[in-house]
Amino acid sequence: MRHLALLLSFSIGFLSLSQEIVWVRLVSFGQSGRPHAFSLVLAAFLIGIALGAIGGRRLCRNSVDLLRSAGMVLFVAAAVDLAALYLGPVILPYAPIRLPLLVFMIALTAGLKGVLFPIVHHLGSQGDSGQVGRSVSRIYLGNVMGSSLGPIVTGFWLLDHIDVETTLALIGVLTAALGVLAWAFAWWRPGIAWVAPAALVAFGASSIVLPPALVIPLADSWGADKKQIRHVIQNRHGIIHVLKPPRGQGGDVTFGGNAYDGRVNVDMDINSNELDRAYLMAVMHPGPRLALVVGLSSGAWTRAIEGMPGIEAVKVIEINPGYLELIGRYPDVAPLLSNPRVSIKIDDGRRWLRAHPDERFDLVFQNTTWHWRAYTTQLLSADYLREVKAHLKPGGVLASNSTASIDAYRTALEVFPHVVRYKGFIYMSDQPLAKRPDAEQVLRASRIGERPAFDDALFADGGVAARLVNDPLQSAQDYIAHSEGRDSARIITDMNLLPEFAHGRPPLFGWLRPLLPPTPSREPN
Amino acid sequence: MGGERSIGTTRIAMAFFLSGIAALVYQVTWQRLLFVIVGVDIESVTIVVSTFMFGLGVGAVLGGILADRFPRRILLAFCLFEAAIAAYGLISADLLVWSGHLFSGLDRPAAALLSFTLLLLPTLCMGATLPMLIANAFRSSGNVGVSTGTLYFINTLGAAIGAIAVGFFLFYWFDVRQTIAIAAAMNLTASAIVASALVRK
Repeated sequence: MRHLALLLSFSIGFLSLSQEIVWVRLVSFGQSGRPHAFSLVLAAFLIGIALGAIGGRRLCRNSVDLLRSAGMVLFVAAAVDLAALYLGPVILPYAPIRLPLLVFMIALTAGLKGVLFPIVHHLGSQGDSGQVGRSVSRIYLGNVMGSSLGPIVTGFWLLDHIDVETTLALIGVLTAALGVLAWAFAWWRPGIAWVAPAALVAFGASSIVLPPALVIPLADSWGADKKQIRHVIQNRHGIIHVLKPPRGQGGDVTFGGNAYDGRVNVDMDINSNELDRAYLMAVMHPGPRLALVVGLSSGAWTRAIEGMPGIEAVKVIEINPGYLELIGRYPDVAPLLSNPRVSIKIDDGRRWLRAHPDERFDLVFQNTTWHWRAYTTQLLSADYLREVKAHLKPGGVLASNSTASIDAYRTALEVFPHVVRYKGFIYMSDQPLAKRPDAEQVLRASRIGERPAFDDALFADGGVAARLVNDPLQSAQDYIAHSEGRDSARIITDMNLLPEFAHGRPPLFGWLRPLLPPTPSREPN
Repeated sequence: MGGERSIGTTRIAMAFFLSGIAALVYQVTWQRLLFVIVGVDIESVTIVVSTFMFGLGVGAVLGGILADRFPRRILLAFCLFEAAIAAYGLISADLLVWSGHLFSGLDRPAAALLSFTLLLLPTLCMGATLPMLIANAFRSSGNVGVSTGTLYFINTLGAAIGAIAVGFFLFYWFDVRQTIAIAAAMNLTASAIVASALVRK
């Protein structure tokens, strides 16, 4: 019995934490990576576990056959796991009205497994009244070891090989299998009572083979039919999806973690990515040779930077290898993958910078994701900017998307003496930033592959190239001084998590709003 | 006698509830600080979560052994462990930031080992408290399942409130360092609540 209790304890920990990983993945996707998603799942999960412990305590007190009861609870847990898979499209979209149902469902899936926690401790400690501490800790250790292994196997390996829908179905089937095991030990007699568990396992197995769609119903399609979603790439790093271009123009639209990433487009006539924001670096830097791109995404920005005159090498740090798979499918950007001057590393940008303290660059470019998303502080804080600054050659330029965070400008001014703004991007340097006298020649020499990046027509009055050459630069000081949010602008640090929380987007619960500090008004990007 | 016992049970429940809140606040805040060292990709998240869990597991073994060996001093040990968690909490922000600078550029296995080393002591203390308190409660209830269910409920409910507090409230008003200090204050309060009961006894 002790061994069975230990096995159940381990398995429950494994399946619970695996399911938590899946919930975090799905809820984060449904909420486009808002930082509250993790806390929401964690809280719902823990409430479920806590209430489950109470249920388990009651069974320990009243049940005459605990093992049989445990099996029954596991069957119900498996049924709820599978129901959650099919209810996902209803409960997961980001809307206040659906939130209670989502919390209830997460708590229920966790709670039913939590019922087992006191039971397995009780079963594992029977006849051990002299050494309760040891027997409890042995069973608890089994649970914690399962809980440790769950995230490793599921988060690290399983989600890299199967999609999130199949993983959820698999968790349901394994929970049902545990129930079968418990019943087999408690009460192994063939009969009608086994019909329901057998049907459950069969239904779960069919859900593994043909899982219902969860990601596509949740995916942002800019209001278009979900059939417009052309690609979905899932791996352990996250979920990328691609939408066909609205009205057939501007290139496919990429989303990372259900937040807009950019367009697969390098045509400056259309300029759907506003790649002129990358070309401004070439217009300002006197002679860039080495460039670093933090975040590859759909590759359009890197394709533009790689073709700037004088650029000898581009290093790209991308956290999700799924983008490489995506880029390979598009002729406009696929040449990046075979370009000997472009080297792509799969890593966390900040960790890579720290691991390569001697690398220096003329240009560092990051099209930062929306500032209100989880962990953006890591790429917007003054601490991070100082680390990038140490990797810039004298006169080097760092360009970063502010995504309408006025704090990002304030922070840039704290670290760099010279900061200018252009279309929501922040350009930082230790040297004064000004346009080169030969800016037009630089743009005319820029290439996308073999062809010029800018057609002659774009140099005519009002054209994007002409504006790059002629429009005056706006200093960040001037921008802040004329912004509505100037009084609330603060320096972002690793410690204050400002862009994600206090100055990010408020959480979904409207009733929480009066309890939170006021969010500054949103600046135009 | 029954009254004294119920007061003691209530105090232990309150203390363990506060301990649960603090544990989740630590988990989230320490994760944030460790991400600077190990990165924010899925490998790093897995490293931090698994390290946390491993520490809790080893702590549980330690707590179980201590509870059996020193059955009359379980509550005193709880007070000391809570105080130790608070002490670590108070220095943790500086320690983790300092380690991040000192060991910057570590490769993945070395960064994982560093995370493990930094989190081992406090997670070990956290993990030890549940078996200790279950063993203590078993002496009055005589039913391991009932004791486990009650204490696990209280601690986990605290953890859930900690998760809500940190993600929906504390990070809006306080920075990471201040949030950790609030958690440390909870551990100290938990320790003081049980210690005061022991002194009266």
